[in-house]
Amino acid sequence: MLKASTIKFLEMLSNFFELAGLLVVLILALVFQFLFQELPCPLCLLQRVGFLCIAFGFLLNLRFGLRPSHYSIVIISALFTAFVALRQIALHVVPGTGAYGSPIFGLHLYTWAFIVSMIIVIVTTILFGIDRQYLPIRHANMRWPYLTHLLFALVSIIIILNIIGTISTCGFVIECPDNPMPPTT
Amino acid sequence: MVIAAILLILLVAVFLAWLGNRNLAIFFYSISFFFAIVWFFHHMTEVIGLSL
Repeated sequence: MLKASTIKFLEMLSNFFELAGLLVVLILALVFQFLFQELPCPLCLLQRVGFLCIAFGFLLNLRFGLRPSHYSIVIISALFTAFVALRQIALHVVPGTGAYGSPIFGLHLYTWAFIVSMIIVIVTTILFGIDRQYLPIRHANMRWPYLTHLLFALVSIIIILNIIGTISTCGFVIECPDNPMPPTT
Repeated sequence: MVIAAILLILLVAVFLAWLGNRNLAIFFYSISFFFAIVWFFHHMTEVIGLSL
């Protein structure tokens, strides 16, 4: 049987890898927006908000230690992201209704968003249910301060870039356009 | 603009968590998450002409 400290270490490592995977998805979305001029629609932006909310839950785990409340933030945010993605899939599911953006490996970004968020729900629910991670451990420092600071900085930069991107796409109007056009030169 | 405001509130939550204020960070997260859900329902109902 594994020791509680080993389980805690493995849980922290899983949290780190889930967060890292999420950050790759968010960075890819920004690359598509800024380099390939694929501007996000309102539902795409809401999916990004959902992913950033999931990242917030993982950051809390890394900063303050493993707690059920942090996992519940991750799960409820992932469910929200899945709902938004599913809504967008439903908009384009009827043949002839078109699609939004270009596909990656045959699937559109919103379909990938649904798949990723459901994987996060399933994996986090399994991680959440391992009781021994919540046991107090003496003389065990399970925090990774430098890595945590780096991840906080990265998430903050991604949020700031998304704010800039949203304002540059939508301007200072309340609602973003459904099909935003890239600026013509 | 609404999305930018939601992201800004989330940014405040992330900064607060970074600085170590867990409770206030979760409070700000809850506000941004609530508004995200409200905005999603606004988009959902817009299609059927309600725009709630």
